Amino acid sequence: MRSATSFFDKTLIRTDVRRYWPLTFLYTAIWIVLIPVTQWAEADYMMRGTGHYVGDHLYDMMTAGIFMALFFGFLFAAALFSYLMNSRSVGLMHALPVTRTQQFFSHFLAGMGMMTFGKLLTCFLTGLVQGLLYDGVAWSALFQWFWVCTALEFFFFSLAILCCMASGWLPAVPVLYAAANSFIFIATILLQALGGMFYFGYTSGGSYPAITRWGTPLHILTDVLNERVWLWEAGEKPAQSMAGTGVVFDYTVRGPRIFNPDAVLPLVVYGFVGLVLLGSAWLLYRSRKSESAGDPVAFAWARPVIRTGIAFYGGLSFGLGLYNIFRANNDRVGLLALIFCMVLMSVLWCFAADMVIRKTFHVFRSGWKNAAGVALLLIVLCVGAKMDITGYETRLPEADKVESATVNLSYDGVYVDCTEPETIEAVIALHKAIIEEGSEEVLGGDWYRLNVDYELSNGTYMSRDYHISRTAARASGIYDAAEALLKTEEVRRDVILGSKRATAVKMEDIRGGYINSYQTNESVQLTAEQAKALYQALLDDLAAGAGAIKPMDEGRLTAKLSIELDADTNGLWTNELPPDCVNTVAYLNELGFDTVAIFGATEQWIKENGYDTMTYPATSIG
Amino acid sequence: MLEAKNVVKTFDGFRALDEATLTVPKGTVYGLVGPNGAGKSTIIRHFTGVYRPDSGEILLDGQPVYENPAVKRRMTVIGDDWYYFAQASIAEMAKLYAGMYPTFSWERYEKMKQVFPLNDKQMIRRMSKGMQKQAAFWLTMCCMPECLILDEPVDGLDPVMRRQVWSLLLGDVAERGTTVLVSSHNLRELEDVCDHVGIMNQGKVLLQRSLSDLQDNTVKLQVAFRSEEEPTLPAELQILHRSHVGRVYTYIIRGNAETVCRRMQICDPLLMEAIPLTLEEIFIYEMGGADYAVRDIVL
Repeated sequence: MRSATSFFDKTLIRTDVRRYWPLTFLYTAIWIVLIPVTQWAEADYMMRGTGHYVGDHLYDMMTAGIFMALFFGFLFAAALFSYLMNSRSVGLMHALPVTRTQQFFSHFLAGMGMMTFGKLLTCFLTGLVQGLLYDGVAWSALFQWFWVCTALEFFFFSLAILCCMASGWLPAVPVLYAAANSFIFIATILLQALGGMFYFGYTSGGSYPAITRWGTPLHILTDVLNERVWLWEAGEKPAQSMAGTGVVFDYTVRGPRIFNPDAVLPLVVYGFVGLVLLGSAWLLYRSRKSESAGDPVAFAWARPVIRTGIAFYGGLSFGLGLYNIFRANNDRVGLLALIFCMVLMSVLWCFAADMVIRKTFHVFRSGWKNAAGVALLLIVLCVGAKMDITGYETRLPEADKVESATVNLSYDGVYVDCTEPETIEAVIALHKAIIEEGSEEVLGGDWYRLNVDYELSNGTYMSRDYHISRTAARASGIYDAAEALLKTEEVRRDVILGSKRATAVKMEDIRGGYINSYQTNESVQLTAEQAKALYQALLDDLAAGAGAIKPMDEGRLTAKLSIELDADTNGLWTNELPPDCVNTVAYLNELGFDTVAIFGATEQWIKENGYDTMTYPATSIG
Repeated sequence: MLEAKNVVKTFDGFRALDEATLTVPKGTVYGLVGPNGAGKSTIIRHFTGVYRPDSGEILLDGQPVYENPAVKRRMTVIGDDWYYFAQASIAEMAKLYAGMYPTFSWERYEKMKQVFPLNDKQMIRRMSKGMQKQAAFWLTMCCMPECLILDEPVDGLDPVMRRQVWSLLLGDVAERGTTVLVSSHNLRELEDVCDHVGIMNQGKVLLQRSLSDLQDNTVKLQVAFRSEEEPTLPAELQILHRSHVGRVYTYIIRGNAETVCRRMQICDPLLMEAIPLTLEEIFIYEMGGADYAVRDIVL
């Protein structure tokens, strides 16, 4: 029965289903091959061990669901709304006695319905395969797979529909869709590249800002759905390897894989965003003019926005590319060359975009103002970055506002997560010295690196990465600042004990240990008593101020050995032992190690390299 | 009654419809004529609810057409570029029309098989242009519309099929009081079927009247004067066009034939004959007044 208030039309839905069944078939066939057919074909493999693999496979298929949603969301939207791209078809569809709202939601429901049908059929066949070949059906995983994929499809399908609404030209729709999925990510990459060119010490910090992660659905969804989370189950196992102690201790065993709880928030957020996108697309459809069929950009107000965006991105990316071609054999090509490249490419892209949008080559008169505006914007961006108007290069955190600082002095082999105020102050002092005295000119391998990530009390991060000339640094205040940092107790503790976890080791928890010398290939299994004595020696050395590494040294004297202490709570593991750890070296001697061989250094070498032999035990000098 | 009231439509600054006002009385066949680019197809797309006017109103029996399914269910359209789904046959398209138009008659659909020699299971895109046009008529007429809007409807049909189609249309007009708005450049054909005519140019409706009124209001007068030179004609005569061969002058004059002849008697013509104008002549001379006429151009 026809309802005047209905928001969809059954005839249109039926027509869509009849017209686009091959797409549904393809979509369904892929899922059937990926899930029930795979589970049927690999039943022997999946049944082995705990038998959890069948559920794990469904969780793996959630990642596949992202790409299925990305691809088929676009295909269904492009097919169902393709009539908007042609004046003949739009003439038929809009002359039919249905409102724009009914048209819109009929096509939307047809698309979602066809994808849902494909998934339901897949669920049915998967249930059948699992019921027949396995111990039972993994209902929970199957149910979760279905809803996760539905949420993903809802988001990507809505986004693709919005792109269809924004354009009246089919070839422009995939371009818009790709841009919508990646423009924040691309902007981040480009701005990071630009930051690396302009700012001394610039680093992206190895991760992307939250806006980039959340603004790039593929990035965050792949991250959270790819992460494998298992249910851990308590168990008991005799510690046979613990030097024959026969101690029985608790441990956990890996249970079945579960849905990553961290994925819930992104899925809910993107589900909501999908709703907003769908609503926006509906509003655009209602206001969209039928005569926009054939126009690459359907709305006049959107044309300058898209043109400017293309010109900006084109100028930034292709401008940087062109600049790097110029700079290939000349590191000194400067700001003017970069600006020239960016402006040239932005102007070209602006006119090219205008040609496509307006479908004419006669764009100069109408487009030059736009091109000039974007060029000016890029000039301001480059000059502003060069002048460091934000104060990026000279910015230092205030010590009392730093929660922690992760320092990587890769030349010295030091990687410490510092939390103590004394250490943080030393880090900031070194950072300050590099800003004031560091030389960016690094010749060959003559470099010294400081990479620091500050976690600030307001929850934000500040990262810097400096590559400076080592020769210049040795002759400056940087050396003193680095030495002061390496002498702090927190850094020494890290050097001697190997990791921060070691501080949590309780003497009474130590059950045994193991030492292996890489230099001599000697190894010793420790009893609980021996391990405790070794740990005490390490603590005594730390208390005595040992473990301070000399910064910027080419050949550092340390013993390359592996010390492992097994404890109920946290173990200890270290792989370098500085020679001033006299108590530990003495105990190693006691255990029968050839400590001279362990350090592998002669007295002559020590003298030549400026080490004070008086600080090292005689046994460590060959 | 189908109405357009002061409709304005602009495409990228170009005013395609400029305060166009047009009224199609119920149960009539209304011929819409005009030069290329006059705005005929544009106004038709407004009547079918495809385009939304920038200003003005499009009404069917006083109800707006745009976004009004209840009104659109009462009308069907055959555009000059009738669209069908790429893989569809006539039977499949019929399912769409039947679902959309509650008045769709499957009985008529079956009867039409006798009229149109087409295989309704064949894909429409495999058919010739003329056959596709027949398919369009087949489907559209099965919707049993109260109002039928046609843009260049018989373009591509052979003469026999043209007669057949017109016969069906006029049968519907006579039996069911269907209102037909038809746009065409074939004025001779329109003259045979239309009872109202509207002439459009540059987005405006220049005039609209019943065909008989229009023919009564313009007269072609052939006059031979006694003197070799043309005498001064009465100033009140509104002459649209004049030409002469020897002493015989041909005038196209706006006005009733009887009145015009009476006025012309003042010039004491040797011979005078009033000839009714064809629609084509009316169109040409009316458009001549709107700066649109056949020009003698030497290439």
